[in-house]
Amino acid sequence: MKATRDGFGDQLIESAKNNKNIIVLSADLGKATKLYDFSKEYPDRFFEIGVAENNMIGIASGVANNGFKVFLGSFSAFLTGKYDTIRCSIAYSNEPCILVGSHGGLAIGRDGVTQMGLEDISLMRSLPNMTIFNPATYIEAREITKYLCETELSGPCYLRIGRQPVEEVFSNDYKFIFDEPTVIKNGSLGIVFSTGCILSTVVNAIKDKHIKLVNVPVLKPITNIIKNYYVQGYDFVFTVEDHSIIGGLGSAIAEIMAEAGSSAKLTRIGLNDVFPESGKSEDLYDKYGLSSNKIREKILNTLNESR
Amino acid sequence: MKVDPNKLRNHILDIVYNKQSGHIGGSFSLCEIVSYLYSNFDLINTDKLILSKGHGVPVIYAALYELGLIESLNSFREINSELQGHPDKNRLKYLHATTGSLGQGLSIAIGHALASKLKQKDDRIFCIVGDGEMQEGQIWEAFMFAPKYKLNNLICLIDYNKAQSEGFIKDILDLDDLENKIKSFKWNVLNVDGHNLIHIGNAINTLTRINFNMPGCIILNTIKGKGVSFMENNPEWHSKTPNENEYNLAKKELNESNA
Repeated sequence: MKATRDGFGDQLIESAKNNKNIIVLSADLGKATKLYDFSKEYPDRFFEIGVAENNMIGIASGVANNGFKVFLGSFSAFLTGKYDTIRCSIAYSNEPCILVGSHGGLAIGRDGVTQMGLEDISLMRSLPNMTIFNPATYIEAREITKYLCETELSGPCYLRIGRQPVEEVFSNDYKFIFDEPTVIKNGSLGIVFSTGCILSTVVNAIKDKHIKLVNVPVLKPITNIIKNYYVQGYDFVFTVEDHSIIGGLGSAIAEIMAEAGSSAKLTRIGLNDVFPESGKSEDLYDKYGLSSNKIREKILNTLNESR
Repeated sequence: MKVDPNKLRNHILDIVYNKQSGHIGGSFSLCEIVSYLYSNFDLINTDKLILSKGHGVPVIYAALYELGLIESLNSFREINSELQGHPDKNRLKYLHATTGSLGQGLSIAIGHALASKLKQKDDRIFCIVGDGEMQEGQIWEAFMFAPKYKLNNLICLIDYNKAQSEGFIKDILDLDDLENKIKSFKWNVLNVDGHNLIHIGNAINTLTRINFNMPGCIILNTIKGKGVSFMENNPEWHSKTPNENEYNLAKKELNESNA
C-alpha cells in the first residue's frame, strides 16, 4: 500500500526530468509533502520559503507569471487557510500554479484538528479560475501529477494529497482522463460518488452490494458525465469524502441534483459540520462515520429505511 | 522628466473627481517616484513595476496615459474597463501584478525577481509598498526572504507618507525605526525625500549601478495628498473624493504650482 503523496512525489521527479520548467516551492514541510525528494534531485529548481505560506503563494504567482510551472506545497489546512492570498495573488491573477495540499482529512490522527485539511476543498471550490484534483490512490496520484506536468494549464489548480497508505484500486494501465470519472463497480440499488483517499474504504464497504461506485478525481469543474450519472435513474445517491460535507463533493452533487430537479434522495457522508479531535486515525474514522463499517451501515440503513 | 509629475496629479484629480471614486492622497504621494520610473526605465518590455499598494493605481493609469499607452482615462472604474479600481494585470496588459489586497505585492515581486534570476535576465523589478500596508505580516515574510537568494535585481520603494485609511500611522500602528528594521533584514536601505526627483534618481542609481549582492530598499519620505495644500497630511484624503468647490481649488493650486 502506498499513499497518494508518494504517487505525487515520485511522478513529479519523473516528469521534471524532461520538463525543466517545473519549479517547486516549499514551506518547511517538504518531507511531509514529498517535495523534499524533488529538492534532492533538482536543488536548483527548489526553493525553501520557510514557514511563510502567504509569502510562498505570492512568490509562486510571480514565478508562474514568467512562464514556469510552479508547484507549491504545504499541509492542506495551512495552505488553503491563506485564502485571501490565494484568492488575489493566484486565482484572480489567474496564474497557472499548482497548490499542493497534503494531509487532507482525518488521517493525521493524533496531531489533531489544526493539522487536518477538512475544509480545503470547500474553500478552493469557491474560487473562480480554480481547478480541483483529489486523487484516490497512488496510481491515480501519479497519473494526475503527470497530467498537471504535461498539460498547458489555463489557470491555477489545487491538488489534494494524503499521507496514509491506501489499497490500490486501479491497475497499472489506468489512464486519467480529465472529463471522465471512473466507474469502480456497477450496481442498481443506488449510486455512490467517492472522492480522494477514502475510495478503497468505500470499495470495501459496499463490495458485496449491488450499488454503483463512481470515483470523482476532479471536483471542479464537475463534469457533465457526472451530471448524467444520477439522471440515469437512481433513487438513492450517496457522496463520501474525507472532508466537511459543506462545500465539497457532497455539496457539488447536491447542487447538480437540485438544479436538475432530481427527486432522488441524497445522503452526504463526511465530516458533519464539526471539528473532530486527536486520536488514532482508525478510531477517528470510526467515530466520525468514515470507517468502512460506518459507511456501509449508513448506506444500507438509508436503502433499507426506504423499503 | 518624460512623464511630468504635475500632469499625473492633474489626471488623478480629474478621474477621481469625475467618478467620485478612487484614492487621491496615496496617489499624489507617488507622483514623483512613478514619474521617475516611467521616464527612466522601460517598464513595459524590460523592467517591471509592481504596485503593492493597489489603491494608488490612478497614478499608474495617468503615467500610461502620458506615455500614450492608454488612449483615454474616461473608463476609469467603469464597467467593462481595463482601468479597474485596483490593478488587474489580466485586463490591462501593461501591469505586472494584480493587487489591492494589501501586503501581497512584495512577495509577487520576489517571484518575478527569482524568475529573472532563473532565466539569467538582467532586468529590474521595482515594487511600491505603502507604509500602512507594512502592518501586514506577509510584508515582513517577504523582507525576511528576499536576501536569502540575494535578489539584487529587486528594489522595494516604500511610500512613507505617514498616513493610512483611518488616521496617522503613528496613532494606528507605528513603524518606528523603519530604516533600521529593514537594514536588520540585510537589505541595502536608502532614505530620501520622495518628492525630490534628483534625490530619487541618485538613490535608484546607487542601488542599480553599484553591484550590491542584496535587494535594495528606498524609503521615500512623502506627503499624503502632496500638491494640494488642504489635502496634504490629512488622512481623510486617503479615499475622500472632492466636491466641485474642492476640485476647483485643487485644480487651481496644481496649475499655479506648474506655472
